[in-house]
Amino acid sequence: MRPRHSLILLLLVAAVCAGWLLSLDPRTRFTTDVTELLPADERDPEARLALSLVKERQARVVLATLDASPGASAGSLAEAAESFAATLRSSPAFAAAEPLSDSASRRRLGPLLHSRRFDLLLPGWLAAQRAEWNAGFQPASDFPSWLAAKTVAALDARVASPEGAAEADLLASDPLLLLPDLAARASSLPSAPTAPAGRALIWAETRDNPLAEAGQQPVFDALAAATSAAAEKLPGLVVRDTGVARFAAAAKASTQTEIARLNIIALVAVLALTALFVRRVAGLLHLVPLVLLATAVATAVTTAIFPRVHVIVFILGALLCGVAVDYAFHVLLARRPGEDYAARARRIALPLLGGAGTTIGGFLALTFSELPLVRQLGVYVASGAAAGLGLTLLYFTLFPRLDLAPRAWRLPALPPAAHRRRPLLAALLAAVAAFGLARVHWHDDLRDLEYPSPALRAADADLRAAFGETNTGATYLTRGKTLAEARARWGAFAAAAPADARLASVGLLLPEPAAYAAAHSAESREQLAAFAAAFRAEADKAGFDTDALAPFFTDFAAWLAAPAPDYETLMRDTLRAVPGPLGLLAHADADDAWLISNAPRAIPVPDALQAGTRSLSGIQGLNHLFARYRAESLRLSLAGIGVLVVLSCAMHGPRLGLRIAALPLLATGLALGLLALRGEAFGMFHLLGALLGVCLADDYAHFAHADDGSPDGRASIRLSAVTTAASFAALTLSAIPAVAALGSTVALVVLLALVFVETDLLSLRRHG
Amino acid sequence: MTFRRPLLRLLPLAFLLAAAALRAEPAPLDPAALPPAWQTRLQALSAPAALRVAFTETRGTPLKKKAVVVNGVARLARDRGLSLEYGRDDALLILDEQGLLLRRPDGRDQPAPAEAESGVRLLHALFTFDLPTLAKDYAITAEEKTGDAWSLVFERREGSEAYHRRLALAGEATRLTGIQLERDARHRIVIALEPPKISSAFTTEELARYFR
Repeated sequence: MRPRHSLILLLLVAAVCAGWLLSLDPRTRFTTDVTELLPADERDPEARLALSLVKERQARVVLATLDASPGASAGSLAEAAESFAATLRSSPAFAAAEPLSDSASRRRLGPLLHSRRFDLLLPGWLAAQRAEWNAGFQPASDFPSWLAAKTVAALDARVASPEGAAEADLLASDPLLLLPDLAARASSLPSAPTAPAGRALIWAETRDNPLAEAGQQPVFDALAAATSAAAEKLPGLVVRDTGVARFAAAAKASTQTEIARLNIIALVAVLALTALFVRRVAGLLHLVPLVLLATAVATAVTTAIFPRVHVIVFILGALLCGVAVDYAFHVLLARRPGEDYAARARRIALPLLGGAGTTIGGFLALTFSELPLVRQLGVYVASGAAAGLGLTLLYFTLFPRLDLAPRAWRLPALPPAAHRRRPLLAALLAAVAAFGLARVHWHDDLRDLEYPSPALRAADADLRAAFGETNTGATYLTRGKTLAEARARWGAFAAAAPADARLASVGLLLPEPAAYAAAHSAESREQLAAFAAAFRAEADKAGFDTDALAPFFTDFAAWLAAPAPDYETLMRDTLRAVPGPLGLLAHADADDAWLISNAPRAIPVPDALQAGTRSLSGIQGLNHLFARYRAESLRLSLAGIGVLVVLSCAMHGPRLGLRIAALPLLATGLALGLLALRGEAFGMFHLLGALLGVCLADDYAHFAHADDGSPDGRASIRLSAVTTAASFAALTLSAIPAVAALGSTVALVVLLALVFVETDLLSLRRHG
Repeated sequence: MTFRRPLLRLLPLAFLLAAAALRAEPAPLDPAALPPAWQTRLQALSAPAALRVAFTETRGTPLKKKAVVVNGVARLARDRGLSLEYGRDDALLILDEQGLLLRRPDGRDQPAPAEAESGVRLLHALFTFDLPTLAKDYAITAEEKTGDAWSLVFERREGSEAYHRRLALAGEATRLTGIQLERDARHRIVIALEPPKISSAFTTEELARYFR
């Protein structure tokens, strides 16, 4: 190709990539959301639950504490807290905000439950009474009379109980003891925490998902405004807040810094090491446009294929620095006096295509993964490697006589005896690799992908403790297509739980659908009307002032006369009206409904109920998924290695092909074996690193075989390996464990491959 | 003698008037300037480290035509607070510096709602004879009666939001014999206390069971 055509093509590629990338909206096309690393249509039910939870109301909660300076009055703190909450409520970023220390939630919940006590609580009460009636033999009276006598006896006992002294007003309207019984059963439900003197607690809910941009900066702005408003009321106030948005924003900022830092370190390391191997350092500037162009092409291709790309792909993509410059080294350092560029390109075409082909093939195998991150990484590296090779060949047609003037590094030749022992040494190293690989132990943790924020996490734990949230106990999620189905399933789970399990759920506030239907049957209504009359007579006989019970008789008669509300509508209305944190323990939309339960200790969920109720163990619960993805990555990596061996055999014939393939396999096996012997726990990113290492080492094996014995024959391998190892070693500086694992694996594989090439361990060189 | 008969008829009245003349009139009590007799009495009342006393509570409630009468045992630990036990199967009421707690028979503790805090604080002050705290919401009247009998009456001050409109303590010498808590005419609790059993301390088991 003529230089002019090459230039036009290069400029065209650059323009297309720049145009495409500039047209992208980074807020919608790139993500830092760790949950997007999992497939949206994940088949594991627990993962589906976890993914839906983080996108719903629970993730939108923001907690804040307001600490007054010593000497501040309780009144002024309460005023500041109300001002803080009011400012948040006035912000479009927040859907709700309220001070918790004044028991606002409780004050709203009490009247709500009282006004709907017959709808919500009477069905369960009636079902229990009827069950007791049915269990006994009561020939002397009918059900309404029996129930009236029993209810009056219970009321009498309640009036004489310790609690009765403070309940006279309530019992006048609730002599069936619906609310006191609920209070006893639901005492473990989350209630407003008690703040110590000098501190106010604010509970708030944002409108947008905290993992989205709209759920972050606008929320922080509103919090800052609320802090100023509160400080105006009470100078010296210390405000702290926490929420998923803080973590998401911190992770995003840290990840962006990390991308810049690692790329700069890798680039500087590559350039510095290259300077050790070539004299004309200025020539290295030619690598910059190649790396930038290859990265731009890889990013453009990845974003063209995937609608949303996780930024961790670009962190891992820092490795492209090392891969993209490899081809440039091979092309430039293969220069021979008197040989034109086209002849040189033809001469090294086979090893170039062999090396690049195995890298591209190996990483394309990853695109069969069900994990979006792995698919994206496969496309990114494969397209980057293909672009790197193509662009390199095009680019140097513009500078056909460019000479980096490589420095001659003469390594001492191995003695003939050592040459003879190479097979033995290779076998010994293979044994060490096998021994180490047999000791591999896996540690699959989704949090390995997160940027660690220990200070933020500690502050969050501290703040949540102030709100009474701890990590003790067990949490269960009961699901159904409707609230009726979810409530029925929860009822079955609660019935199967041990009597002392203290299972707490907002389900306690909702009647069993069957009991609700039974309470509204014509027969029940008739019996309840008879019960009301019998109850009045029994109460009078027992010394009660029935006039004092007028609020009950009035409300009960009105309830009996009204038509029964639709169960689903009533329950959804009730849950929407449930204030504060309690309201977050249930959810219902057009397709789905669920209830959350808590228990102080784990309760086994019977197999028959597993379809409706599952134990939730937080993000750690998804680790078994990660193990599954890792196993899948292992299969794909082995498939990629299979592709590599087949390509190698196809290019060089079976004997030589297998020998060439043996070098990357031995280097990778030994690297993993050594890491395992060092006690390193392996995860999915060790596997991805191993696959990349195999591809790079295979590249060197091809060039080692093509070595024509000239003084510069191995210079390109040396330079390539050293720079690649340096750029991957840069990744070991990452605070993200997965990235560091990938970096250490590749760096070690590449260095071992270099040693094997230099010592010609597998006798690949045609010219000794 | 006809004139002697009316005199005889007036004799009981004269005795009553004479007896009344021997009693001190109810008088306002300023906690900041307690008379020495009251200082001594209140110190003695709050002195026992561990006190156990049976009581009868007559609880007036608008729900019932007649007041409800219940019995129980009160335990007062100087450093821990007051515990009321009504029956083996009933919840315990524990009143201490942290507030009011209902301890259910299965061991679950349920604190009183935060909105009851101010009322609970005043009740705690009443049982610990903390007159300065009570004086912020109540006007205090002290009365010396015949013998060693005495009473302290607390009338809610104008503008105060205290739950009870009237509180009263009655005693003999250094023993408390009665307590009254009155919210309104129909919500009135009268507690009669038996002679207490005083000891130096509660056992560890008692402290764990009856206090927090």
